[in-house]
Amino acid sequence: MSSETIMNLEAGDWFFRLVDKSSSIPSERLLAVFSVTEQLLFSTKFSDDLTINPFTFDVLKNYLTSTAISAKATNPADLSGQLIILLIGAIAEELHNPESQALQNAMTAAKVIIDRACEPKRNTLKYFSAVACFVICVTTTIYWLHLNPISMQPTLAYHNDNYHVKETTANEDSINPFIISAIFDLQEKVREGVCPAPHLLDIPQGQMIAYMNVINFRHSDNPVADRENLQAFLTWYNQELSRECYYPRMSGYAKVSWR
Amino acid sequence: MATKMREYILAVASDLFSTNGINATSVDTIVSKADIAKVTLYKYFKSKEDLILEYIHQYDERMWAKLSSITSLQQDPASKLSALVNGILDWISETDFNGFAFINASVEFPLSESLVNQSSLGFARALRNTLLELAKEAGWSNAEAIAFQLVMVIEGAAITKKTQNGAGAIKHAKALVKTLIDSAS
Repeated sequence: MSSETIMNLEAGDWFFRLVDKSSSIPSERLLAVFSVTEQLLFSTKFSDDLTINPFTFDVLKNYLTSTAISAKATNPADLSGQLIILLIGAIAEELHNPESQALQNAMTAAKVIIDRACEPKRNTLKYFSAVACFVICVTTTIYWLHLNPISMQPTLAYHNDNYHVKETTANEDSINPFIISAIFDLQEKVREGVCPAPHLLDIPQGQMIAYMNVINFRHSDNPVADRENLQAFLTWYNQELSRECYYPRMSGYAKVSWR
Repeated sequence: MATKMREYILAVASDLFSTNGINATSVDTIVSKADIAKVTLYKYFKSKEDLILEYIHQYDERMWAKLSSITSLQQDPASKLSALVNGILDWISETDFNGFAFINASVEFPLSESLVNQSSLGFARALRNTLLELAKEAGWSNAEAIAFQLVMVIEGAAITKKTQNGAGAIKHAKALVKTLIDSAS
């Protein structure tokens, strides 16, 4: 067997059917490619006829890429390219040294890169929103220490599927952190497809700019105006669009499959 | 003069081995390409196996010399390990790369009792041990696993580069290496 003769997937879809049967979760199917390959290598029936060529390489790459897309990988093509290298290296090692448990070891490495590649983006957003809220809270506190008087005024905060009016303290010259938090929460729900995106042309320019400033982490040139614009924007969204938000069930699965 | 002739024959044979494969290169092909008499070849190398072993040995020496120069520029074990693996991947990315001699030889001589097979596994073992030592020095708890995984990435990149003529193999391999090292650190 030459170094090119590694794996033959031309026999048909059976390889991918075995992988598909292993799990309904895409990221687990990416891992299953390794375990199914290991099973095949242990079978003399197949290990005598394992070849890889540009055609089978492309078939495998396409399968991995489409599964990586289903797994919501940040860059599916990169992930599939990395998995192929790992898989081929593991197969070569397994053939050189069948006792090495190369595919098991490669699967551990694959899990690391799959987890990294499929990290939910919302975590990043949550991180940034948490940091932004923290910074704003600290800034607001510092203002409180230096400015007077401290006012009590109702401000809007977005929570779950409704906007609730919360009593909180806020300086008149800064944007209330709860409003910022509400905007981030809303943006996250829009990104996840839970709530509809606001059509920015439907809202006044001032509100649009204030909204874009927050979601792009831009500093506001006019916090007082932006605060009012954001409040108005949230009120408008709550009245016009929040009813279209769809929250998936928290328990069990509500999956949509293209297969 | 004798040393130069020996080196010349070895250079011609090495080129043929890496380009056409070891088994596919006959002694006749080597003497024809080198434009020497067969008896001259046997004067310097007792057999084709002797020539193959010398080819693998020289390849390994060249590779380690290159890798040592790369790692000597780094201070800490983790940086040395990263530089070592990336250095090998850079070598694979070169246009005249035809696969590692040690991998090709071990595949062409799969029987473990073969001297060529044993010699070819020497580099792989040395590479894995070097990576393992560096990973241990770096204080990684999963040093054994990481060293083995990096060896597999290198092998996978080499095979993919050769069979797929690049296809982004080195870029993907380097990204893989970075993720694995980052996760171990």
